[in-house]
Amino acid sequence: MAEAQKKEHPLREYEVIYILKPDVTKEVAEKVATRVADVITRMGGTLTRIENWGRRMLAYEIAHSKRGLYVYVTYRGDGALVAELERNFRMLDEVIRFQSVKIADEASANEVSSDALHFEADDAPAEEEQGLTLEQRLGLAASPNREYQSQDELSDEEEAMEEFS
Amino acid sequence: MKQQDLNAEKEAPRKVRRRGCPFCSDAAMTIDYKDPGTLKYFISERGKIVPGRVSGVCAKHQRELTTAVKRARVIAFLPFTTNY
Repeated sequence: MAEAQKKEHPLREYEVIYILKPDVTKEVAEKVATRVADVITRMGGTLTRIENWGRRMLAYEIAHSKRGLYVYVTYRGDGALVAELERNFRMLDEVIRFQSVKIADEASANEVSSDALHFEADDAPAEEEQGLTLEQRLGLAASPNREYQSQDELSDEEEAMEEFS
Repeated sequence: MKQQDLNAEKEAPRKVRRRGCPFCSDAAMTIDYKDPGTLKYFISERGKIVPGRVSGVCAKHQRELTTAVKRARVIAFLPFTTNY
């Protein structure tokens, strides 16, 4: 009996990282976290950890964003729960990327501390912080100010040429 | 006979200093796709995975490393390429 039940619903440990758009508000980030927790409980899984990793630079642009709000979740559940969770992520426009990874074939029976289940979102940073692109900060692409300078330089050169002739 | 000698002379014995696999020798060093700081030593400037024969990583750990780098790329911890 126990074996048959195990075959039907093998509980496993999974982790999922999802990336939200960098400009989401605190409320939206918390709403998504609540929805994730709801889906996990509804499908008979257990949420074991949810962490806010904050706004990070992305290695490449996703959905025209250079930064993203990373959220890390671990849970116990079966394959159907993973599929349902991913279906929900696809429906949410705020989620720009997600990745589920199986971390253990057998779900551990460790106690879950309530601290790990507390999700704390922070507000979106001020607009100024996102003003310059990566290339501009590294000096690879001209920022608006530099373009102005180079025009000045050009006119100086032209003047010099005129003086010379 | 002479030709053979010449060839032998040409091919000077290369001094290959074989370093051990960093993951085998250091138990504290783990492969985790969530840790781009460690993974970045095993990718080239263009973002390619460095072959095990170059980095000295053993076959077992190279397989784990490859999976980890690919997972890290999906979640934008590492670039697929730097040319974009």
